[in-house]
Amino acid sequence: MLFYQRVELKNGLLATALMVAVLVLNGCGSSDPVADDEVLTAAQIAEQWGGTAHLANDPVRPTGGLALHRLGWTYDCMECHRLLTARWHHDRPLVEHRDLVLEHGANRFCLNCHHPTNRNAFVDYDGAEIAEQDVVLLCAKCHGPTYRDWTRGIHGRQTGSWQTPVADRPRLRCIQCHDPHRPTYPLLTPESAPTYPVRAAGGHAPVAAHAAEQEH
Amino acid sequence: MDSSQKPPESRTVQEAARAMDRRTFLKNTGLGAVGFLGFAAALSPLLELEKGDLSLDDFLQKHYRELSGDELEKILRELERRTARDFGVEPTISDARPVPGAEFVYALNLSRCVGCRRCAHACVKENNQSRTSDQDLEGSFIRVLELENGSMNLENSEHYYDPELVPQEGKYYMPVQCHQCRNAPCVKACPVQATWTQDDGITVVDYNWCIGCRYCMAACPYYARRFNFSKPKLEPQQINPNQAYLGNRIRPKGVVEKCTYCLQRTREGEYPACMEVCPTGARVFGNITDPDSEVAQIIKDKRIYVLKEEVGTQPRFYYFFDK
Repeated sequence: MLFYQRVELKNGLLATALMVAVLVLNGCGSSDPVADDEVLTAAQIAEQWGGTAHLANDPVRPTGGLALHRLGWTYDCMECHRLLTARWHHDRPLVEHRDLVLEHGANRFCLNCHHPTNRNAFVDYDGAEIAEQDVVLLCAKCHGPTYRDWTRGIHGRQTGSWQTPVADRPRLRCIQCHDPHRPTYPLLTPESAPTYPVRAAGGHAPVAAHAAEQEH
Repeated sequence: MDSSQKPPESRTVQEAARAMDRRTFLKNTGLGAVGFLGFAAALSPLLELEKGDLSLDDFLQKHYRELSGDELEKILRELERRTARDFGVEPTISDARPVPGAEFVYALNLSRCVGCRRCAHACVKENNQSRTSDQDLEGSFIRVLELENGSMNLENSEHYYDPELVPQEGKYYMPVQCHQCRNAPCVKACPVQATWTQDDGITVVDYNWCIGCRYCMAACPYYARRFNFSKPKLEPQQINPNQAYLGNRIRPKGVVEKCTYCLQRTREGEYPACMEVCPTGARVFGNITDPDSEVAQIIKDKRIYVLKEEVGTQPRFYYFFDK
């Protein structure tokens, strides 16, 4: 166990050193994101989606590891993952992304959904990329009937007007409601119940008293 | 002709012309008094004319379906004025007419409902229900029933359930509200035709025509109707000012009211309040005459459950099961 913790610590230190190196090389975070290639940052995608997206958390979604966003990182996934290659197996504790709880049934591996070489995209059956804003197509790989219902307006909350044809309606994408890593919803607190009628509740007392009298 | 042939029933002149005796006089006087008091009681609402709660126009107001546009307009403005006077909020009371060609249908996914009662509380707020506090759910048109998994027996259902968290293990939840029946027992039961089904399938009540006999409540198999036992208690900040004559305007004492699929919203193209507030997307609302609408697709493809199908009400409200 101690050995394991040491390994973890060592990995953590290594990763930190690597991050710092990358930071220095990048010139303390990129204030001009996506200048050189077509990769979109999470914030840009969120903007495209109208600002209500899963990724559009303000402040920037913490990863539970190093507070990189404080250092000016923009969460373009490839900022880190250009250097840190993919691990197929979830064989040791993560250094970053510790906030993620992966409880998605049998779907236990990061790269089942995330693209191995472009971490800003998702992966299709054949290894092709699915753009981040097309996340619905990723989920449809397994949840076919749900996807069919979603396209017909049956699955998911509807907003706006019933007069708008379903096809023309702005639709929430899967991960705007569901946490993709832990899709089970937490239980809800119910709102207040109707009060039991006072007269009906009082009606029970005389009956009980009467029964007590009969016992004497 | 001898006396034996005289008819036995005939009376003498003296007998026929006898002055009224004491017994007959008292009987007739008593009957007259009862009749007069009854007549006076029937006219007693006229006494309210003096107090200003009831005008002669109210007393002579025609049924909603017989009102001309001008008459209705006058009534709406008068209702607005009185609401402002009595409740301190100036509402907009509209005459929301059915959308031509539309027929509203509700579908509710029983697999997805978690029983959080958001819909029931949204109903109270939207429909200006009388309430003593914000937790008061008595007037809500929606009752959420808690049932055992695998059971459809409503006699074993529980609507006072109040656990810390929902959904509870082994339970499922069934919100019940007006089913807007195609063959509505309440409409048939009403002796004065104060309730009827409009072209878009919504059964409405003319609250000014209702006599408060509550026959419709007895006839309804879904417990969908409520009675105003007293003048509504509403704080100004609790009042929804977007109101409709047949919809959510503040109802007077002594009339029956019901869910109208929020006609003040739906006839303007919006969704009902209970659907907008549902956190799980269990509620689906739409126009059944549009084959591409959500409800039409659900009825085509999903496993539908009609509550109390055997009573033949043919509701416009469908439950369905779907993961």
